[in-house]
Amino acid sequence: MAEAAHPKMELTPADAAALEDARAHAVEELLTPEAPHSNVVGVAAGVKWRNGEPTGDPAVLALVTHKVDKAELGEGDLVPTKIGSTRTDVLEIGFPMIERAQMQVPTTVNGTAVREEEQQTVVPQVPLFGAEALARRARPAEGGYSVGHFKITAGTIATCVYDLLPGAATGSRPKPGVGMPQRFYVLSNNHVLANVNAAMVGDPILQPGPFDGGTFPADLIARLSRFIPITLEPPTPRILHRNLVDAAVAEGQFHDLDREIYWGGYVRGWRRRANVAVGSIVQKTGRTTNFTTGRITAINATVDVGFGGGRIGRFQDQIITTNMSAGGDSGSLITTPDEVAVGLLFAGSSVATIANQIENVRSLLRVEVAEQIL
Amino acid sequence: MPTEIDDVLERHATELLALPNVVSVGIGEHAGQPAIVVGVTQRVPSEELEPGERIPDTIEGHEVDVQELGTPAIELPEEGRNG
Repeated sequence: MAEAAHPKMELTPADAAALEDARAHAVEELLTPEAPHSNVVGVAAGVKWRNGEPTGDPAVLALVTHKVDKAELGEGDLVPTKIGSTRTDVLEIGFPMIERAQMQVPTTVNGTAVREEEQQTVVPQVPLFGAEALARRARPAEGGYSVGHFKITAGTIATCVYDLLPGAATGSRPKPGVGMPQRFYVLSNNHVLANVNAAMVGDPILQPGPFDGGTFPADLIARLSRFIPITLEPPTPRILHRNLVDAAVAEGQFHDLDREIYWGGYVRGWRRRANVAVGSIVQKTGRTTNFTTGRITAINATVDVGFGGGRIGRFQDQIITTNMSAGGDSGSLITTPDEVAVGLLFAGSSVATIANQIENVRSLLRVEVAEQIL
Repeated sequence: MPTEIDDVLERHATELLALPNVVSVGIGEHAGQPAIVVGVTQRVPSEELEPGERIPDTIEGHEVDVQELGTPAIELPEEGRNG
């Protein structure tokens, strides 16, 4: 990934050596079983981040499942600001076990301990709670499942779509067309299907995404057809950005693409941007956090979004909701509770989720999401 | 159709986004009325800010609601969200 090349995310060999002492000390202090720190699941050497950007200063990172307001933590649970003379930073990584679908072997059955040698043969294996069911391979694939360009990690399939049909209109009087679709596509983000502008049309798209074990050619589901380029700073100052969507489509075979959303149902229609209202309840199904709901807190929003490696994209006309996503949910379709498409999820923070207006996605990519405007 | 508050936001969006810690501007609600919402990475006491760095309480008669938004970033695994 491009992140690796960012100079402020890398440590010099001298810095790394100096950090090793502090890191070892932090392991003792933060991960000791006698006095565990709430939510701390790991310790690492890295660089201090500020405002979402690497500063280049060496730091010991406390890896936490989730960040908690200082006021809610007891004194013994606070991560100190320094360990020795080295600064600390807190990095939210969720539960590390969910990165790969693991199998958990029960150690007791009906209250009877299972001997280790029996565990492989006697006891049925059950998926670990929290394992990512949607990170697996599925044919046909549905909205909510893992997907990704062959050079990225993994995002989510929004739904499956087709080219606007004859008679379809965009702009001030949009309407669906009528006819026979020639091509069918997976819809997701540019940064999921087109590697943030870096992909070539025709590149392989894998389901599940590479992070979830998808490989070429066994898990090929589609090939990149088109994407809306994203303007980023650097090199372009954000004041000049006119980004509306982070969106792309990849063509697959009809029998592999189901536009049903896992747990959501069939997309009944799509909503015009002018009718997307603050306060509405919305839902999504995504690869990482599965089925979630949220509430729209702002519309017509201009948001500065981090793309990794210190790159920022300023997006206009966005929808902001309460937090309903995590890393890997990029590309999820945001709908109303009765399955009217509203937005294309592409970014989030620890407290909010950000989505493109589906009307902008439809008119810029020129794809039909559903046959009714609701 | 754009309403008056949309026009007000459009006129002031760039200057608001240039203030320290501001990561978003948009239209939300405050006390049941449409309001301009300004998203910040974290709240800072106004006395710690220079007068020119503060977010105004109202803009052209519209309430301004400041909300903590953390640090928005694309939702990929391993992106190291620091929100």
